[in-house]
Amino acid sequence: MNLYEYQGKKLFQKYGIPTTQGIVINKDQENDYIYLQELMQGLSFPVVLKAQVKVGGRGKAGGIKIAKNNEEFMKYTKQIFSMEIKGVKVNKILIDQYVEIEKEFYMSFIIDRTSSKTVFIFSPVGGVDIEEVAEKQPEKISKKYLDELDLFDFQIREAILSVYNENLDHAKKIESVALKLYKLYKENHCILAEINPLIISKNEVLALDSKIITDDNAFYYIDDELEEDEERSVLEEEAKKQGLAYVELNGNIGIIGNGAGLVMYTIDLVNLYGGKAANFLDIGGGARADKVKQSVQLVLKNPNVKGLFINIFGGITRCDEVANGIIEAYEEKRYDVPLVVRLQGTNYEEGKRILEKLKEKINFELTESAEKGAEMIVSFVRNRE
Amino acid sequence: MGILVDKTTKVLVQGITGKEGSFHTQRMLEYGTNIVAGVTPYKGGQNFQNIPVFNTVSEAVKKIGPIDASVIFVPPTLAAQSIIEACLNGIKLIVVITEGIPQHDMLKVHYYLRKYGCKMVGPNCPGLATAGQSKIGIIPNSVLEPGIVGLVSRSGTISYEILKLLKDSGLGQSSVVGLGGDPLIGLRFKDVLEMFLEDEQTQAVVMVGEIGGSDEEDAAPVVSKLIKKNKPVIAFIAGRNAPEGKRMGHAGAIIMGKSGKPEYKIQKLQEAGAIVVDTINVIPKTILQELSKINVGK
Repeated sequence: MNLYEYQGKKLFQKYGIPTTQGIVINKDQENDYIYLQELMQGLSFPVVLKAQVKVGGRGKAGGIKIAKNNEEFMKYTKQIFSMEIKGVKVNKILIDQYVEIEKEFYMSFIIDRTSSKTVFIFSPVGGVDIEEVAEKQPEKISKKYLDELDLFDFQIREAILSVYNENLDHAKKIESVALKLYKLYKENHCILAEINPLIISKNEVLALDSKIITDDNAFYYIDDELEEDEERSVLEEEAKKQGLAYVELNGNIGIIGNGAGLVMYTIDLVNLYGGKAANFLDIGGGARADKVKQSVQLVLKNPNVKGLFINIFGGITRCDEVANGIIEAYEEKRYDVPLVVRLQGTNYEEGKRILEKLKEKINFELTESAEKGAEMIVSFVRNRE
Repeated sequence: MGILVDKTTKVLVQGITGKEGSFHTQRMLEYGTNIVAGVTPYKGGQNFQNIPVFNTVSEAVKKIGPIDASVIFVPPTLAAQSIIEACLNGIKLIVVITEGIPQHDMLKVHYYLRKYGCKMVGPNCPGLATAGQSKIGIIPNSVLEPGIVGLVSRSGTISYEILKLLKDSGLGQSSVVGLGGDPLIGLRFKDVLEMFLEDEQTQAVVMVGEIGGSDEEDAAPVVSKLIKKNKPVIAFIAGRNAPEGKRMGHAGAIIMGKSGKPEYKIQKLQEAGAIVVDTINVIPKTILQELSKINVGK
């Protein structure tokens, strides 16, 4: 899970990492003038308004503004709430105290897939995209791969001092932040815990921004409070409750398959034949009829879906279970979208026999080939347009 | 002789009495896998299909003697401990089927794998097989057929489908390795491709990658070596139309910024001499064409 900046900063506070203490306003408070008036009375200008979105490039897109008075505050609030940053609507603004920046650093702990180790990354060039620094000034980046089970203080010290020793008092304070960030990274099962920039202001260190990504596999360790603010569509939310691996895309052909790779492939096939997939849905291995039924119902709730392609290669998953699930879904409700089912593998004959009766009811084709199936559904949908 | 296992490989099943563990132990026995023991804590003393069940791996090794490989069917919260348990008891090949193990648990696991020099396949994988000899994991028995093509894959279902195509076309398979869909895995493309390079039975290789991480492009130098040795490599990458930042089912299948994009993987593999296909149904035909070119060249 990708956390908002303000959520990350709450975690920073919990772990004793010095950061700004901001206030969050929601989009539904945008027109609540009494609330905003009260809020402004409590602020000491200038303040920084920061759009809360989980995509990069927010500053460049104009999602960060400095307001010097009430007028500017109202103006920028409206402006930011009306923005879309890389297609993401702004629903929250963080109001932070403005601070003078004397120096900016970069700091993160990240799980490195290639070495299967934690890496500590530190740079005295902060406030910019770290990948850019890596390209243009690689000598300004220090990376420490943690080979042992535990982190030792001296490893962090070595990493910091190898690229920054101008001010040892600052370096010492940076080390203390790094150790706290490591604790946060471990206890919250982070894949990434990043402070960029970590700044020096009036001789003190301060985390001005946060980027925290936690491991979805460790959801039972994660605070429920953080979970509530996840950016999900209504159907993604419903899918999560039903335990279905569902991702919404922007096309019009619904996709269901067994196995993450096969579903990705099915989406690619539909695109290859000129169509566009509306979603990703993996029923997993060994799914029973009721799960298939739920999946069909969920995908067809999306009003954009003009055709459904179900691609099953049966191993542990049995074709007859899948067929029964499809029939159950279509018996409960009359869906008026064409359906193509590709079945192969375990209990294929039985599945085929069960599905035959669908032909009387709807525009339906059964095939043994995924490639043919994709071609068929694309042409069905095209003919209806 | 397979690249990792053969019919003599002694296999332990951790989590043998569970739903998944017992079901797939049965299938593995049917395939001819040499399963010598099972472990389920506090279920020791029982037998499952004439296989003795022990409480701990240590107990199993004491009674049975050295064990070559272990397969893990343990729930995600306990799986990391089971891997470490196998590792500390001298088992050098550990195949992890479990999906959903926290990555911080896997960081610990990798520390022990490095320290004790153990190989791991997975997690979140279908396991591995040497066709006609031994199968460790959950690959359907019906799609395996001894032959000449080595398969290495990050995706379970797609690999089953390709295995069937290889079987139906008469090419068959030498060894099969499912690497797993997680971000932190044991063996990677480059490791398995190195093994195919040395394996006499393997005359052609199919690699099935997907978005996320950099394992496909990291394997490009080994792809070049295979081509030089007249072993054609056919590659397929799933997830070409996946959006950035969204996890596509597999925890490892996610494009983050510049990392994990399919175009780059495809480009690097093509530059190394692999044939990258858009659809998997053309794979057998493509292998046959490449092999005949090589034979003409000879």
